[in-house]
Amino acid sequence: MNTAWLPFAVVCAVGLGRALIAGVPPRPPAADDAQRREAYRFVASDEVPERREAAKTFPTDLWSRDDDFHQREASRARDWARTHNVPFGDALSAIDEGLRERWPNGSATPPVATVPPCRPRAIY
Amino acid sequence: MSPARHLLTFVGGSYRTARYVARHTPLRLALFATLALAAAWPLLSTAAMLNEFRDAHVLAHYETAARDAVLHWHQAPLWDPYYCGGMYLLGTPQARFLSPTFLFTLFFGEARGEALTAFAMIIVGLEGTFRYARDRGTTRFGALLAAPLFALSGIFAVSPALGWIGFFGFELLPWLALGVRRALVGERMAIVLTAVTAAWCVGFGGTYAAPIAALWCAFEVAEFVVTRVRSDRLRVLQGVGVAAAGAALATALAAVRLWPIAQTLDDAPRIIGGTPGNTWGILIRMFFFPIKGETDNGEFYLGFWILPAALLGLSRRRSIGLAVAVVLCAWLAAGYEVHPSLFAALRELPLYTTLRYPERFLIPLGLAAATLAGRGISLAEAYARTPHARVRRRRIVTVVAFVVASLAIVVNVGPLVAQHALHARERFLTAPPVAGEARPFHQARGSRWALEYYEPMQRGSLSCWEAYPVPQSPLLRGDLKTEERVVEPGAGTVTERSWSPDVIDLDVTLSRPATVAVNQNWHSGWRSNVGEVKSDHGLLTVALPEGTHAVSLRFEPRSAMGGALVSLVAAAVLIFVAWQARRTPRVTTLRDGLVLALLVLAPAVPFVAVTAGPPQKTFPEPPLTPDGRPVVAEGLDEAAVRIDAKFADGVVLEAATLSNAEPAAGSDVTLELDWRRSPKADPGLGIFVHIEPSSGTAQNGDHILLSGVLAPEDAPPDRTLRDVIPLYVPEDARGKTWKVWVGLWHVRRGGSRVGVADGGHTLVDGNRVLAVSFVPH
Repeated sequence: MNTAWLPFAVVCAVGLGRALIAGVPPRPPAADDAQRREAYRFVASDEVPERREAAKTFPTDLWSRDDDFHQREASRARDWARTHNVPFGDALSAIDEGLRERWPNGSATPPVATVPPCRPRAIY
Repeated sequence: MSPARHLLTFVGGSYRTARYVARHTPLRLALFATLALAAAWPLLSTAAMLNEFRDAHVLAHYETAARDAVLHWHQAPLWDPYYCGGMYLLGTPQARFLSPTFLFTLFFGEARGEALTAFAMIIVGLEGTFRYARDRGTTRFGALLAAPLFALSGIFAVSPALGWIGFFGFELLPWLALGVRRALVGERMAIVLTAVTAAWCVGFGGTYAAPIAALWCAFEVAEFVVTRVRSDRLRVLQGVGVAAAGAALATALAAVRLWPIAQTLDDAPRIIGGTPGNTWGILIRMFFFPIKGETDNGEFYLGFWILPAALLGLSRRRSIGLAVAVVLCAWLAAGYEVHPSLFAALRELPLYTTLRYPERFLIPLGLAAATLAGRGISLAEAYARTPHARVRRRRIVTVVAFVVASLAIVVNVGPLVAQHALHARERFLTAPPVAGEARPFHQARGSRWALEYYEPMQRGSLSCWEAYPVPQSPLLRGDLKTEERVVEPGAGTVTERSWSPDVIDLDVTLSRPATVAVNQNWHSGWRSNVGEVKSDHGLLTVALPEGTHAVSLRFEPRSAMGGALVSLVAAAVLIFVAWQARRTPRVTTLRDGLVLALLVLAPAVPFVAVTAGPPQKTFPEPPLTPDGRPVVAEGLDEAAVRIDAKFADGVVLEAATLSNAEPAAGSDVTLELDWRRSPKADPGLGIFVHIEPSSGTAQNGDHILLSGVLAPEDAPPDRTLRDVIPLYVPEDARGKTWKVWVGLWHVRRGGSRVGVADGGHTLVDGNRVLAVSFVPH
């Protein structure tokens, strides 16, 4: 190998090495079944008021309303996961499972299982 | 030795070292890699983490889905069932996996691949800027200083923090410009350079990079023609011909990506309204000021330090081209804020109608400014190195100017690198999700705000956002126990035999002809070995005869197959051109030109062969209102409340009807506006809707598409066009009188309102008409 390229190769190797040894913080323990049901209940019980809040923000746009709701829902799931020291992904998985298995959600209104088609706003 | 002498010795030594490094490619690249390492270090140090910014989720997902398709399913990354209910992954404009940097993702995963891509692309940009500046007549030392100005500029610090890795496609801009410049002087190898960098840029998801780079290339050609046409017309013609060959082969090489993208945008055009603009003050703060909190400052940072060198560069006559580029880019970046607006004119061109953010023209402005600075350094360097024995004072002035301008740029490297760390620190990072145990795929309601969590748990997210209206069936569900079902009750059973993104195998037993529905979006690329693939309101279905069937659904879009063929032929042509270039570096004779023309035509053969085949089956369904009625109707419904207001552009608001004339506070109603347009109505019209209570905050329902699905200019003339708008009546609306005013405006052409010619049966106020009024109870 031409040694002239050695400095370049060394710097690239340092960059590659740094990326490969970069670690992640320890993950919280996985949620058990009771926690998953509680996560679903906590998030889904607030669906109606959250959708109403989203409708206030976007009174004339169905997709934007739904999108705004999903932001609120994700935020609520994240909060629950943090306070209960479980992975955020487990809270999201619980919402999916609860919706599919019709777990009790603490609300008279069942969660909506459909979404309005994607219609990004043309004007901001 | 005096301190001044020490300083001079140090400066002189540094200068000589820099020139030495600039002259030797391995050393120069080592220096550039070190700069890139310093800039990307915060990204590399957190390379295993997940960026939780909303856009980062979506853009990273495309890369993850492509990796998963290749490594897990051993398929080409064509269809993405994990997002929006299924979408054409190869045809998604913002996906970046068709680029050499996808290798990082394949080997090291998306998150680490993202950091490594940023690191690599900065090196690519540094070397590209160096070479481009050299080609623009800059000395090696000047080019060495110019390189970090562009390749480390603000946009490349901001983008990774937001997950906009596609913006690193702009690091290819100097390479592409260099390719065009060399092609214009007849270099055969430049054709290869132009084609490869352009295809890379397109494959990298350059929704802004590729169109803006194309403009830059057009500018290079125009500059070449203007400066040379008087001296040697034949050379000009020859040069433009070679550059055109490069452009044609670039298009062909990128066909594997361009063709699917063209199909996607044809199926679902992206419509952008509004008249965005930036004041000169904002642009200056974006370009020259360091980043500051939540402001736009430093988004495209090059810094004030560049000014001495750039101003010196402007003093050279040969810098006129770059100066013009700076002016044009600044003019474009100002958007609709200046009149006349060059950005508005640009948006009249087909490819550029979808550009939303004019300030992004500060990126090519950065390249022009960096090159100008390099030229300024070169000028001062030349004067400083030329002995002017008789004009000693002049020499001192030039030496001082050279040292000051150079030092300013060297000092600027600090803030340039630092801004990368500042933006990287702003990210909200978490540990990425880990794939759970293998389980069947299901569509989930999902959340695009946390999209990266869904694919590892074998779930698709119906919650969808993209820059274009992804064709998405309203029949998709996120709570099904099985993803396939027989539509007709009691007609038979369906069992999923195997599932993968591009292939779904089903066992179907039917007692009579029936339809099997798959809980994914329909696309014209889906094929079935039995029966006929159809669309049911955008849902993927297969009509099957009676009997037992082993159904195999495969996603094989013609645009992907055809595009791949065209790209393969183009790649073979480019290899041949590169081989030719080793023997005869330039295209000089008429014979060379003819051979080149024939080579350029070669990729057209598979294109014609594929497009000449039988047309792909489509199921055009009429655009529907949110409540399921056709948008285009023969006439008004009986219950419609007539208005007959006439607008100046030949558009009539025939009626406006509220679904509930006495709505309750806190309820949902719909407002139906019935329009009729004449054949001569202007394109680019939008509808503004002002919902004003007698007290409190007004609401806005401005929109472009009728019922959210049909652009007014695409609607047939002289028919009733239903524009149904959902309307939430807030809780605090009770007892107030709400008036809904409606009008038309040139939403994509200047923003002015369309005048009301005749108010019909209602009130007129400021070029708007009163559609309905109501008092919620």
